[in-house]
Amino acid sequence: MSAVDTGAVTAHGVQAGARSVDTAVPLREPASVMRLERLGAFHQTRLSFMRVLTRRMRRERWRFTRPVFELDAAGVGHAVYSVITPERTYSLVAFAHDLPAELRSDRVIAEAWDSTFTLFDGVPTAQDIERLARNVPVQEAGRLDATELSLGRANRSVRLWAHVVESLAAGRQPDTDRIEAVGYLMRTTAVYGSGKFGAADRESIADRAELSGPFQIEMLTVYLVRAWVRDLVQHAADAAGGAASVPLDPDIARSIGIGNSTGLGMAPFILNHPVLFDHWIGARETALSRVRGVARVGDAERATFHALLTRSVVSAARWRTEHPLQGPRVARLREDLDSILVRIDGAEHDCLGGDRPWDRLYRWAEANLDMEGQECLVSLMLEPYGELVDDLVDTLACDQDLPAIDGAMPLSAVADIIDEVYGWARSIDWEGRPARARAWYFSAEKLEPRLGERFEEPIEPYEQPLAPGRDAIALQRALASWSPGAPVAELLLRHPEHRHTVRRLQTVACASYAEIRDNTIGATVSPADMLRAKLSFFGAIHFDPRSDRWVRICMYANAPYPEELASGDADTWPYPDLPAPDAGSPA
Amino acid sequence: MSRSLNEIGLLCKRAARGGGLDWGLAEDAARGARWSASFGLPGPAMLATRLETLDGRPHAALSPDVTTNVWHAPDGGPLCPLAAGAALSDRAMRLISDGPITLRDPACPLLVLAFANDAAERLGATVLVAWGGLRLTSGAGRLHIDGARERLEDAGTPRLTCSTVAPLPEPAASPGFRGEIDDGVWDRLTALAARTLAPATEESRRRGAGGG
Repeated sequence: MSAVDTGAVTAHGVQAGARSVDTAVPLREPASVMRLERLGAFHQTRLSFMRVLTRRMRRERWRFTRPVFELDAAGVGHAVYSVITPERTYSLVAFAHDLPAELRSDRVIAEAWDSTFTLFDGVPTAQDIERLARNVPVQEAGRLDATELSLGRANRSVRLWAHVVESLAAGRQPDTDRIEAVGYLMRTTAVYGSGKFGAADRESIADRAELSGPFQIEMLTVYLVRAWVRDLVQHAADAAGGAASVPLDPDIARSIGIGNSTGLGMAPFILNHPVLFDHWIGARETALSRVRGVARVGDAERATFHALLTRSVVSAARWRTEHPLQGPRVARLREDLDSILVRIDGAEHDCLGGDRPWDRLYRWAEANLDMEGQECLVSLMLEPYGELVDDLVDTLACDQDLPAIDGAMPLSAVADIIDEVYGWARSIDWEGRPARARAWYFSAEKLEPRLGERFEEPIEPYEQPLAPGRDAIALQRALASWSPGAPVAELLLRHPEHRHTVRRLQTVACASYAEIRDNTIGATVSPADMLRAKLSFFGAIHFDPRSDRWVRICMYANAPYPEELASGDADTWPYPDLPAPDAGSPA
Repeated sequence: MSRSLNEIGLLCKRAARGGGLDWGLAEDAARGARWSASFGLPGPAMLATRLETLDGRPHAALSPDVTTNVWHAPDGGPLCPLAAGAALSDRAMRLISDGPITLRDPACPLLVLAFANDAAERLGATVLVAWGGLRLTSGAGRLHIDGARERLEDAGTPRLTCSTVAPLPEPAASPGFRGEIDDGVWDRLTALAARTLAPATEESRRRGAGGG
């Protein structure tokens, strides 16, 4: 086996990327992987953060209790769900509210919700709950303390909620078609983590093994919220139906996830955390490279791949979206999955025989499948190889602090980084309006990132630095009048306007998958691609873009509930079970 | 009020940008304020004071003259501690090759400290910042404070010196995970940060930003 070094820049003392791969199949090129079109086609994998959490819960036998459940007949009150890990206990403190219909909004800027919640570090006392009851329900208007790890809220899917409550109250199970059509009883409109509104900074708990991975606090919060919502709907049904009410069938309950609406607020995250994004993509690409390097496929691996491919066909059939671009992409994905099945099953192909079959299958997919199909195949190929790739889970997190600038770096090295990482940006006409048609900014009204029309709205003075390609080319132009041997400190003394870009260059030079290789302010940019990329790492499926600026997803559908973790499937649950052979036949 | 360091860093970055700094220097100013707050020092308060003085003036003209080891403002006025601090951090090696660097007449001298600490990290050394009988020594993630603590909030000082020393005096403090910021300081920073927010227009309302 040969080591493959993926460092972006090795000249002039710039430290090469530390990612080495112990396989003969090289990593995919950043120039190909880091295009928005491909990032916007990523699917969940076994490295996704929800699956990392549920596997750990099962492996470490986390225990769950519900020490408080105080709700009135109208369903207003609060509950505490505690999870006992080997080292520590965490508690979801959740509040249920009586929200008038006219106040129910998916927008992050709403002021009232059906449920609000926080993840508490430990077991809250009555005094803690009293304090949280004053602060959590008002969300941004309240204050948290270092004992709180997250803050979030959720709203009901009004129609499905009413249907489930009415059905159970009347003594019958809800209609599974209606549940499948929506997928969730509540959708979160925000789950804030690290340090927000006074909550604990990620850095203060990052040394805890159970929380050290990316977004584990948020994933645990949503996992517990799902159990809370199930209990809440049962409470409502019991209150409405009295003795006639029946418990929600566990199989139906398991099919229900938590919805999530993700808007523009999340899109800048992957631009603002380039090194973290590099770690996520790098882990996924390293896993792919290892699997492509596998010499022969064993029977067990073949069977796992085949089973999950078949379940993916079911999943794709259930993927609903009315988005004009995503709809056709899902239709093509269904065809592509069928093509893979034919290729695997067809006697004349038997493409999993012979040497390095995964590499051959992947290269076939690159030439024959749509981007959705290619990336779905990447996810499926990793599935049989937990022992080969799951150690990469430990490489997903990193220190997210901005580094200080290395002022001694010669300008020639700065120029080399621009050539290496931003070569794609040189062919763009940055003087022309289409390349700069949009600008990212924060609005005074919403306090949220927005994407506006630079030449139609008075927003340019408020622009956020989220156009690395444009800025790198501007720096390149500035370099022309300087000696290549001069240290970058000299340039920055005269041109402090390039300081942000120099820091970014020095950051991404050491992290080959850190930078998106596309224009993020062009007339045709689709922020939904950035949202999709991030949400795929969370482990979301069935992405449903509602415009080019926000995406609806479902989390934890088909995952085991706390009491099912020991006996259920804590790993491959994102793939739906195959319909029973007798499904649809008369009972 | 107790604030998370992420809250402090984010608000200070926006405030620094609102105060007229370019994004890169705003990032450094915020890193510095956060670092300072993690040691219980009034970095965010001094940043607010400095930014209010700058009041949106173009920062490019404030770059120090670094020709000799005595740095000064090009116009003979007070030296900007943020511009000078960034220049110091960018030239960390000069502390070793050329010896101590003196800043003449810096405003809000405490703001230089975090940049000097960056230099210490870059050099893997211990760096001393001293003015008016106050001696602040940092290295390896820790900080030692000696002398006239009341000078921490100086609005200016005739001379500040920065030099490498060894070793770090004991007892040295380690950073915490929270910062205590007066509500008044927080409000001043928030007012500066508000300058980075685009006023809503009918056009932006109509276009919308998407849900969630």
